[in-house]
Amino acid sequence: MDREFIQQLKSGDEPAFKTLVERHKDNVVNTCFGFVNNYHDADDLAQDVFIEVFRSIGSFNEDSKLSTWIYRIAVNKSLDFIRKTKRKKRWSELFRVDSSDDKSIDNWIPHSQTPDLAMEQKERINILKQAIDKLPPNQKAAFTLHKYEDLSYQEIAEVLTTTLSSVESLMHRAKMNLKKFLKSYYENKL
Amino acid sequence: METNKNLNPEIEKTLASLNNIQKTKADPFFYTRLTAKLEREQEPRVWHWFFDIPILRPALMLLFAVINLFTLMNWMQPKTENNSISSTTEQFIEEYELNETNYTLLVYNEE
Repeated sequence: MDREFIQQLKSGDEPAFKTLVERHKDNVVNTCFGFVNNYHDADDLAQDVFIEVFRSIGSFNEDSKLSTWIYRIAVNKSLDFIRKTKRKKRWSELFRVDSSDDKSIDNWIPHSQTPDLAMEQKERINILKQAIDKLPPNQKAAFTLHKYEDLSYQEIAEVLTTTLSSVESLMHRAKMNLKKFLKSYYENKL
Repeated sequence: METNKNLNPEIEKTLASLNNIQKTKADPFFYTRLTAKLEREQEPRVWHWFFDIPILRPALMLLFAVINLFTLMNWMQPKTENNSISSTTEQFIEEYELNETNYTLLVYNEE
């Protein structure tokens, strides 16, 4: 079934492409959002991901699952975007209004929460977000895929084309770094 | 040591804050916008790369600012245009001997 579907995609079948987008768009937007923390940027990035999928489906060699391949493109695009944003930061600070989108975090808060709890969680997520932003790219990728997309370590290893033990090590180091950041944050706050 | 103990629950709570978040969803018109973008991307954009060079944007802004400043300074200078027009007219009259006497003579001869 999957192979037949991939063949349809490779032959440029539009309904097949639409099915693919409808099936994966939420996961792609959510993954990108985990990296960039801004809904507008995440949406733009997700579109770029599917454009890349459309263009390079012909070179997809089926040695991994289609979803794994799409996640891989999403991670690469998001990390590229972060790199470019950091490079442009000097100019954007001079010529652009700050693009940080605090309201985007509201998307993460379950609607069932009371305003007090939602406020507290929003604040904690904001702090954690700052900490995640400071992680090295590969640690950030592993942590984001695990936390936002609930991917197992094995699935993360396939997306990042690395071994299971490497992912375990990345996750361990990511948690250590986050704890270190949070500790200094709360020490300064006291 | 005591501070560490106080901070640990706070750190753990913050680390766990991502555990029960809900997933972000794409908007309902995602596919429509995607196909529109795909079509736009397929159109040739000759000058696009030019404006993508990061240094060019501030450089162009600076250039426009300088042009504006230059125009403003020129505009604010005292106008001597009327004087120069009248002196040019006088020169013209002198060169073609178009003073009042000559003009009357010219009309008389024609009659």
